Amino acid sequence: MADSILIIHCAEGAKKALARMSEEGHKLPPQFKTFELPCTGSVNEVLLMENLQNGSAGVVVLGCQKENCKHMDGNLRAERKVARVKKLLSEAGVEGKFVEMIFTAPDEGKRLHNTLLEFSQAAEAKGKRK
Amino acid sequence: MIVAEQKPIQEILAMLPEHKKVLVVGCDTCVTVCLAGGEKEVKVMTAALRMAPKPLAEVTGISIERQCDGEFITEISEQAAQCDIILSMACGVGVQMMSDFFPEKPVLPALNTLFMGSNEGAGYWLERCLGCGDCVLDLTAGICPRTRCSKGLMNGPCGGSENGKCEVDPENLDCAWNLIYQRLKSLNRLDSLMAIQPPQDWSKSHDGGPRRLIREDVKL
Repeated sequence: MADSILIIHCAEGAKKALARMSEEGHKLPPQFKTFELPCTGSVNEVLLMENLQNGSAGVVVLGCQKENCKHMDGNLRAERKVARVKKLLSEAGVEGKFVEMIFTAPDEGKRLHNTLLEFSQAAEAKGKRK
Repeated sequence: MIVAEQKPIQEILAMLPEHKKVLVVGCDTCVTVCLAGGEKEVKVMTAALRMAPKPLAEVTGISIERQCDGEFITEISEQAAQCDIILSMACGVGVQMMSDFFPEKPVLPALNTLFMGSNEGAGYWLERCLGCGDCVLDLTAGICPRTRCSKGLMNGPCGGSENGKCEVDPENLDCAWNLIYQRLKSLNRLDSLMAIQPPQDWSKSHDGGPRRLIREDVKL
């Protein structure tokens, strides 16, 4: 089975988008795992790095749309932490791992499904090249 | 507190020889508060070193209360004995203390130690004390001109002070002498400014070599 991809999502807009995706019949491949936080603002570098180190090919942080975070700016804080981890991975020369931030609205089930599939396909291609 | 920042990961990786067991040691005091070398940063560093392509035999991480204090360093003697190299995430004091306690192990610095300062808000630290050994804060209403005046003037302000800002960085840097003036004014102590301050006695500062403080009254 392909390496797992962890989706860390908030309990607001992102959770609703994932539910919408499922209601619309868009299924994710089994390598996707999910982990819910009240808000993506509580994502930290340790959570991201340790998940990657413990076997995840990638971590996707899924937050509310910009300017629509229920907790004001939690999604923007998450975006900065994701950027910091991306920079660290790149500077350390880590290959075959990724971390991404996605902003989504509750009614974007199909778009979200397509985006997540692109991540899994990219991760799979990287895995094959390793 | 002592303020430090992490060295770039490439620099840290370049310091580490291949195929060695690395023990990453954090410090739970100053560098934890400035988010550079505490328990969380040790976890992130450990994960990064484990995933980096550089072949290291083993990477483990631990954090202790204070690396500038021998009684806490001895707590990790066992872990230190099992590693080849120690990567210290403490300030320069901690790195040197670790070297003293584990002389048979190379101890490498993961941080650049910057200054003694305060936390001014999320992600913002400001230098406030040079450790010059000759404090004049009684004369300057609790604002250090040696540290916070860009020119270290003892009789300021200079001609580069405008609208309360320093000419060195007018957008971000307050003129220390303007702050001193405003504070003394509010304390009704402007007369303090009339006295000309003599040049500083730098013999009490670092230039005479490493300073020591010995107190006979607390010796055992």
